[in-house]
This record gives sequence, C-alpha cells and structure tokens, in this order.
Amino acid sequence: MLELHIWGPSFTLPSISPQSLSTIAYLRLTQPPTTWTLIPSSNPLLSPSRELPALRDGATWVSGFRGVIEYLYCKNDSGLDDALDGAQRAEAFAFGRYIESEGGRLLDLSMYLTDGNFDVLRGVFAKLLPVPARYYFPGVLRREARRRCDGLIPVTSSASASGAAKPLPQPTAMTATALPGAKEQISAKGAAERIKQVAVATGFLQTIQSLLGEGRFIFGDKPSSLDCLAVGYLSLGLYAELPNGWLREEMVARHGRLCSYVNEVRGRMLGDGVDVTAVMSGQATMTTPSGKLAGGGLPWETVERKDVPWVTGLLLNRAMEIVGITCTERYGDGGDREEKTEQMEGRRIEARRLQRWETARNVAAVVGCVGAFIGYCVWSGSIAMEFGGKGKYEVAGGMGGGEGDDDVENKMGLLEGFGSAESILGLGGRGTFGPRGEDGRDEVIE
Amino acid sequence: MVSLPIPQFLKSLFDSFPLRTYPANPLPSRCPKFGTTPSLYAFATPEDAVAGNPSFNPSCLKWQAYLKFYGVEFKTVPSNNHASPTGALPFIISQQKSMSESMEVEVVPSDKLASWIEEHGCSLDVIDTDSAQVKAFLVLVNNQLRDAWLYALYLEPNNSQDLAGKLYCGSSVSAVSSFLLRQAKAAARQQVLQAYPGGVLDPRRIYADAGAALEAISTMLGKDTWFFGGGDPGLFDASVFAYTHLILNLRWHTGENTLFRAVMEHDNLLGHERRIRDAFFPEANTPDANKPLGSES
Amino acid sequence: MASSPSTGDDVLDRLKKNVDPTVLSEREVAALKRAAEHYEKARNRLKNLVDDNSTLPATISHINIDGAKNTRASFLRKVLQETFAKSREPGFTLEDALRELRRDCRTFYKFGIFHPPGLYIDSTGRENGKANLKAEISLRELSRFTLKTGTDMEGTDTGGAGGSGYLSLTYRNMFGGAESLNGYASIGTRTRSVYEVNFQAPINANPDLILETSGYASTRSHQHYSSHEEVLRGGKVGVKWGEHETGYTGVWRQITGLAEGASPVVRGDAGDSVKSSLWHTFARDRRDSHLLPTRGWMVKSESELAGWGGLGGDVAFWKSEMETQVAAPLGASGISVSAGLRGGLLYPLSTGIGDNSKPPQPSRINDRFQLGGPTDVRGFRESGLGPRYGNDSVGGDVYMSGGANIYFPLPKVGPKKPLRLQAFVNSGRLVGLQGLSEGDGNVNSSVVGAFKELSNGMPSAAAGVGLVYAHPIARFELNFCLPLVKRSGERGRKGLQLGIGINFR
Repeated sequence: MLELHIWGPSFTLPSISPQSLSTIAYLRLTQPPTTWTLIPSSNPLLSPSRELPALRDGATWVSGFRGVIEYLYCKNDSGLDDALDGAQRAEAFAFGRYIESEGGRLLDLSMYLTDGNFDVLRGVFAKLLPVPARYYFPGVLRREARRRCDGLIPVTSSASASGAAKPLPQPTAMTATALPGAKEQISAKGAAERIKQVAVATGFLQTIQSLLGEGRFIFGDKPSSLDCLAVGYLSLGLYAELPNGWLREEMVARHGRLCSYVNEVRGRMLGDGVDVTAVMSGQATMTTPSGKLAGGGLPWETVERKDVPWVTGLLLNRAMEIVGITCTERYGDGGDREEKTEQMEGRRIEARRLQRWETARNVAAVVGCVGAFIGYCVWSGSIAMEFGGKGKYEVAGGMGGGEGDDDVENKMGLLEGFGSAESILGLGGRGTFGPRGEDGRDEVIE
Repeated sequence: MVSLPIPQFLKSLFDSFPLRTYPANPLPSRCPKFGTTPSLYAFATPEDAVAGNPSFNPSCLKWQAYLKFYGVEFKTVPSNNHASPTGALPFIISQQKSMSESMEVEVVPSDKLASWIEEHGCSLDVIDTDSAQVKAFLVLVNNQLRDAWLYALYLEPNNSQDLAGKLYCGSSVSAVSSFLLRQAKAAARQQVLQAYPGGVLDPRRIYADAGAALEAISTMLGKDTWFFGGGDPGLFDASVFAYTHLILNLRWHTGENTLFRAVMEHDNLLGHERRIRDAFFPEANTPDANKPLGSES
Repeated sequence: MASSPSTGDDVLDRLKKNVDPTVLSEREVAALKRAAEHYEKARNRLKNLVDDNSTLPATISHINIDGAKNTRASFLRKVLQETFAKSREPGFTLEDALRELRRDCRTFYKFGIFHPPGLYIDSTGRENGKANLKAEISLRELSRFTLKTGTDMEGTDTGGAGGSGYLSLTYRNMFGGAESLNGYASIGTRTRSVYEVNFQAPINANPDLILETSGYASTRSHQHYSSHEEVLRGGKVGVKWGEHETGYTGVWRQITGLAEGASPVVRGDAGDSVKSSLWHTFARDRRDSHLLPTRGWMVKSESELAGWGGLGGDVAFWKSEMETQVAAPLGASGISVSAGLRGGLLYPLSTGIGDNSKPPQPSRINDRFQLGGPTDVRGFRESGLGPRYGNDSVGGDVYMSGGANIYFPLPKVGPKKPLRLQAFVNSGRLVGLQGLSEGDGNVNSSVVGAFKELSNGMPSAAAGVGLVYAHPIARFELNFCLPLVKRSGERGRKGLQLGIGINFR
C-alpha cells in the first residue's frame, strides 16, 4: 500500500500545494485506486528532504513530484511517459521544469505576495495545521515565496544573478520620503503592480496555451506527466477563491483554452470537489447533499496526528539551522551509500579535514583573543593583585614607598608607613578610611 | 532660495566672474579612457580580459559569447558586482563620441543587453527567443544547471576553497577573502535552497536534476549545429556554452566533478562547445589541455 | 596645624621657629584679614613656608593614597616611583618634595580617571638630619561607566548639510591601570554609520605615552560629490606621545552603493581593496584659539606609508600632508590677520618584495585627495576643485592650497566677543598624476609633471567677505564669495556660502 502524504485540501481542491496536486494527478492516472491512500498530513518533516508531497512505500520515503514519478517508474517499470519519443520526453522535462519554476512563482505571487490573499491563506492553513504550527508555517512559506519571487516584479534588484551575490545598499532608500498625496500614490502603485502581475501571468499562460495547442492533452490524446504538472499548477490558479483574484481573472478572460482544458481533465485527475472539513474530520466517504462524495472520490485516509512530536521536531530543526548545524552533509553522505568507492571516501575525508581546519582556525582565533586579554591582565598585574595574598595586604596597608631597593624592604617600609600613618592621623588605610577632623589636614594644594 | 531682482549692472558684473577660466584638469592615471569601443564590465582575470578570453562567470561568458555572435566589437574590463548599476555583472559602458568631445556615456545593464547587442550587431539567422520552447529550455539552464553549478563551485568544500575562493573572493589579505568567501557561500546556499523548499541540500539530487537537464538539452540539440535548428548561434547557444565551457575547463577537484562528468556524457554538447570555442574564442583553453582534473591536490 | 600631635621635632614647628617673629606676626595679621578665604590662606602660608624653608633637607617616607579603590596598587606605585627615587637623593629639599608631589597629582589627574586630586602633607619626625615627610594624596575616581548620547552636525556646504546621532559608552580604568574601553556607535546621513571599539592604556603608567588600539566599521556616503559610498572595516594600533602619534592601520575598504549616474571612474574603482599602512602625525599648535585664532602659529603634518615592501594590502603609496597657519594681531585695534598654506602628495610605490614585487600602480579614488568647500577653499563647492568626470569629483594626487584672512571686530560688539567680519582670498590646485598606467610609466617624471602643472597658470582662486562666529563647539561662517580663477568643470560658488566646522583652513 502506497501512502501519499500531502499538504491538506483547500478551495475544493485536494491540496493547497501545486506539487501535491500534480502528484495526486499522477497517482490517480497510474495507480489502481485500491493500491494507494491519500493522507493530508501537512507535515513536511516526514520526508527525508523535508518536503511534501512524500510517498511512503513500506519503509521507503520519496518526496517531490519528480521523486515520486521516478520511484514509481522504477517500481512498476512503466510510467505515463512511456509513449513519448526522445524529443518529446526532453520537451516534457523542460516544460515540466518551466511550469514548476515559472508557474510556481506565479502562484507564489498570487497566493502569498498579493495583499489580502495571504490572509485567506492563513485561514486555510488554520484548518490544516495544529496550533503552534498554524501560526508559524504560513509566515515561513511566505518568506520562501518572497525569496523565490525576488526580481520577478522588479521592486528591488539583487545581485543574485551572478553567484557572488550581495544585496547592495540602495541610495534611493534615503531619499524616499512620504509624499503628501500618499493615497493617490498607493492606488497608482496598485495599478502599476497589477500591470506587472498581469504581464508575468500572461507570459506564463501564453506559453502553456501555445504548448497545449488544440489537442485533448499536451501530447495528443493521452495524458503525460507534463499534463499532471500543468493541471496541478493551473487548477490552483483557477479554483483558488482569493479576494484579489487577478490570476484567475486573467485566466478566465484571456486564456479560455487553458480553463476549458483544466475543467475537462480535473475530474479525471484530481477528483471532484473536495469538502475540506469532511476530509479533515475523516468523513471523506460521506455523501454531500448534492449527492457527491465529500472526498471527491479520492482514497483519503485520516491523518495520524502526532502534533507535539512533529512540532517539536520542526522547531528543533529550525533552531539547528539557525545555529548553523544543517543536515545537508548528513543526507548527502547517507545517499551515497551504494557508490561508496574509495574516491568518495577520500573526498569525504578531505572535506572533513577542511571543515576541521576551518573550525580549528576559528577556535584558534578565539583562543588567541582570550589569551591576549589574559596576557594583558597578567602583564598589567591586575590578576596578581586579585589572587596574591601579599598583594592583598598591600592594598589594605595603603600606598607607600620605602627606602629599600628590593621587594622585601619595600614591604617593610610599607608596614612602617602604615604604622606611622595610623599614629599620626588615626588612619586605617584606605579600606577603612573614615571622616577625619581638621587636625589631620596640613596643607591643601589645588 | 528666494530670487531677488538684481540690477542689470550687478548681474553683468557677476557674470564676469570667474575672471579667468583655464581648460579642465586632466584625469588621474587610473581613470578609464574610452574610445568608441564599448567596454563589457565582467568577472575576468586581467590577463584574460586583455587576451579576449572567456570570463569565468557563466552569465558574463554568456553575454561575451552573444556579443561575439553578433560581431560587436568590445573589450572586457575586469570588474565586480559593486560596480554594476543593477548589482550584477555584466554591463556595458559605451561611448559614441570620443572622450575629448563629450564625457557622456551610456551604461547598459544586463537586463537590457540582449536588445542592445541585437541593435548594434550584424543581423543573424536566429530563432525567436520568445518561443515557448526556448523559454522552457532556458529554465533548465538558468535553474537546474545553474543550481548545480553554484553547488559545485561554492558548496563543495574543496572547490569552494580553490576555485570560488580564488576566482571571486581573491584579496591580498586572507582574512578578507575568507570573509568574502563565507558571504558568497551563504548567498549561493540561499540561492540553491530556493529550488529545495525543505531546506535540505542533497548533492545527489542537485546533480541528478542537472544531469537530467543536460540530457534534455542534449536531446534537443540532437544532430543540429545550433539549438532549435538556427542558422547562426543565438542566445540559447550562448547560455548553454557559458556553462558547458566553464564546466569543462574549470579544474574541479576529483570527487567534486560530478557536473563535469555529466557534460562529458553528451558528445553533441561537447561538439557544440568546441564549435563555439573555435569560432569565437580561438585563444581559449581547450578542455583536453586540462584533462588531469583536480589532480594537483 | 597647631593642634597636630606634637613630637618635639615636628617639621612644621621647626618651620615656625625658623621664621622671624615680626614677620610671623605680620603674616598672621594678614592671614586673619583673609580668614574667609581659607584656601588662599593655606596656599599662601605654604608658599611662604616653602619660600622660607625651601632648602630644608627632607625625605618622603611614605605617601598615602586615598580613594583609589579601583586602581591597582602597582600602577599607583609606578607613578610615585620617581618621587621616591628623588627623595632619597642627597640634597632633596622641602621645595623639591612639594614640586614632586604636585607633579604626581597632575599625573594622576592627566589619566582622566580621577577628579582633581587633593594633597596633604605631614611630618613624621626626623631621621639622619632630614625632615621625614608623609604625604597623602586624596583621589576621587570618576564613575567607571559613562554613557553619552547626542547629535552632531556634519557637512558644510549649503543644502548638503547632514546630521547624525551617536551613542558612546566608556568603561574607565578597566583593569585598574587607567585603561579605558570605549564603544561608539553613530548613525547619520553623510556618515551613514560608525561602530567603533577603542581601547586605550598608558604605557608604564605614563599619562603622556598612550597605547591605543581600535577596531571599527563604518559606512560613509560620498554621493554628493562622487556618487558612491565607502564601507570601511579595520583596525588600528597607535602610540601617542605629546604632539606625535604613530601607528599601524589595516583597513578593508569597499566602494559600493554607486549612484545611477556614477561615472566610469567610480565604477572602475568600485569593489574591495585593503590598505595596510604605517602612519605618523605631528601637530604643534601655538594659536590662542583654533576656531578663531588672533595670534600664534600652527604646524601639522600627516604621513602614511601604505603597502610598501612587506606591509601587504592592495594599495601602495607614500602620502604626506603638511599644513601651517600663522595669525597675528594688527596693533591693539582688535583687527587681526591670519594666513595658511597646505599641501599634499601621494606617491605610488611598488608592492611586495622580491619576486612578488609589482610596479607602482596609479592611485584609487579613495586614496586620492579632495579639495574645495566652505571650510577648505571658500568660494568652491565641497570637493569642487580638481579633476572631474561628469558629476563626480575624482580627486587628485598632488595639491597645494593657501589663503589669507583679515578679521575686523564688529562695531559696538567689540573684539571681546567671538564675532568678526572677515575678508579673505584663497586658492588651491589639485592635480592627478599623469602617464602612469597599470604597471608602466615613470613615477618620478609623473610627479615632476604634476608639480609643474601646479604652477601652470594661476591657481584656482576665490575671494569674498563675510561674518564669522566662533561658538565654543564650532565655527560658523557666512560669506559672500566670488570665484576669481578656475579650471573648466571646477564647481565654484558664486554668492552666499555657509560654512560650519571645527577645522577651518
């Protein structure tokens, strides 16, 4: 039995993530309904790469759309793309990547980065996630979306294109001040933003529409993995009911062919409308008043909720990332198990040596600084004064100078001084110094 | 400032100042002197820049190649990201008139380079870069291939020290270069992570994705001379060449050269790289000359 | 004093006995008359006592230091060492003792960790025919932590002025040896940000020999005259003694944040460079006021050797600047004149040693001099003199500037107030070294060429009249100026110009 773990359902679609939708579509087209179940666990920690969708087959976990189809291809020795020739396969791969990249950014822009829409999304996640995570996760996803869309709508330019990226301080930031006609500015800004959004959307949708042509599916009459991707991404754009629905409007208004394509294949690939509440409460097989299944005909399984462990795990993971311990190397090494040649071993050793060297250098720098500090303390004598018993006595005895040349005589002189000072002025050294009368004062200078 | 009415005689008296104006001070020695040849500010070693050799940065090399395809004469000026108007190299400074006539210069940032080059170069028989296919395959180069390139260059421990550190973060003071390298590594990591939302960088997966991308690109090229059946090399050819040439020529460390091996699998891509190198960068290193890769350590 | 425990040989009794009775009574009468001024009296009495007994042989048996609870004993002893050594010498007299003790008090005060000290002296008897003195220096430590915040004015050209806010925390007497640690942070418009940690310590308990180390990071905007910002991260070690200061600086400079219209010169120099240099400064100021001098003179010099030989870094040059100023009053009229002359040279050197040696490179924009501005060469905009590319002042390698001012007190206000009318004429030249390209060209002939260029034609000059006000913290000037001579492209300022600053040339 295959278990497909996904981000949970929303907007009558079985998932809120386009990758999850595409994977559902692929499984629905290739696997008999009894051999797999769909679990809206919304828990990315399940998969080794911390991503959803993730497919569990016994003890094996694979994640991501590509990971899943590759695994299923190896397992079944057949896939959706078997009928395609080499050039078509290359094209399917390229366009698939194009959809994932450009379509993904378009959805990011529409769902996470458009004012108003994100608030709705928060509500969606609230239905999918346990309590602490539902406040935390949307923010994380939004940050990631913002990073991905950096430069798409050119508000700030970044140096990312050349690798040695480094954001530059923008001189304009200083001069940008609030202007009197702020309201008009904002609405003008909104209009300009809209124009840019539509431009981005048109670029993507035109490309997909021209790719689709007039056929039933992208490559003729049979669906391919590329169709799964296209439907996954487009359906979220088309069916997500967002307050600022520029993407959806753009699709409906000018890309009718895409809409009809998605509408046509939706039932076959993603099931009928999904009732989120029913699915999340484990009543996917219940029929709705309209006579349809609440789960849209998909093999839903209830979520095994282990909220506390996974939320803790997640937070721990984040904390480790912040501290700088990442699991990259671990997974990287673990994956190479089968090709553990001597060369790889040597490389790992070399890498470790390099890492150790860097750590050693950092430690050396810290030790050096601390050493220099302690050295100064010793040199200046402040340490000796703290720990030396004799030194303490000196302090208590007040300051003085002797006639003698060496230390012992100095101390003798000091003792004398201490005694005589007391006899004359009634002083007990500076430690016990008290108010004194005029009689002790001889002359005052300055 | 409030402008007060000034009596005519005072105004003419004012206008007579300064009493004497000499010709302008000449610029100090280091200041660049521009002829009519446009300058491409790019990552390059000073020697390579003089010899017209390829840059060691893929996006700079892409535009270098594209300029050469169009027969635009230019000279390469070694530079860095701080110099660029957009924060990223390359960019072009061109001057229509000679320096003595006017100090006006035109700065062309990288996002406007394509149209600038097409405008200033000869006409070529190239395919439309706006076609759906080109767009899709460009994504493969700019995402999968680039991520793997960044990973191999910055995040593989030995490569980052010996290649990225030397090429991009060179400074005469090791503390500064290691600080710069650390910054660059963090930036590269951030960049690659965009494609892997889980926050886990699995090199196997990154290289496998790049391998699949190369496979698709190679299939697309097939037996053609240039991509998509163009009569002359175009922007896509330049993009692919920028990566293949550098992947083949960099002295990767043994064990960290997965990307190199992936390119070597595709004979037609090797041929494509060689065709462009022979035709447009005759002085450039040949990959064969560098065959014992990363073996110096 | 009279009631001090009497041991028959009390030095002060002896002092009294030595004094002629009539003189004593006279003095006592005088002292009574000034009874209210106890301090004066005490001083006076001591003075007379000393005058009369200056040759009395004495020795200092011990010095009690009171109130220095955070200061190390060894440190205090080092300060007093010399006094003890001298007091053992034969022929050490009471006068010497007082002078020594006063000097010690001054030394303590100079460390900047105490309030003005008090000195008390008593005698403890006689030994070998010498008066045995016991002294007590009463110290009061300044608070160990001082937090300061405030705002600064910066920038001086009309319309281009900026401001900044700062926060500074000082930890005084850190290890009990008058060391001080200072943290400073400032954020502003021109000087975008400065963060500095500074540690100072007197060497060998000598307040005139200070070791100073600091680390800093700052971002400065040069947008208003050459379209860029400079980020500095570096450290400095120096020793200050008297009018000299010398040390080493290592700094990583980054030219970044270029304006859209930045010239190719600035673009060419953008990026990272490291300067590793030894420097020395000397300043002797004998003026009555540095803000509005009416008499005296001043000489200042700064020299820097960067990147030469084994110093490392990306830039190599010798850089020297010299500045002089003379001021003199014209009779008792309150009218005074001042004149100043300054110049600087940047001489490129070869980097590295042996096989790594590289020929001299032409200078970068962040090493070159800038000239012009209301506090500098009046009648020109800030950095308005010298070579330019488009809107950017690119700086020069050699400069010379001079000026003369005449100050008149304002009628009715008089010369007592720091307010003057001034008339001035000043001029300057800033030129770049020619004919040096990457690694070839003769530096000497370029420098000779640059000096020739300095005297080629009249220097760029301006004259004007204005009002000067020397506020205790800064000097304000409002001038009407007219440029007389300039080079094409140099940015003169015709009309009113406002100058605010501390260092006026």
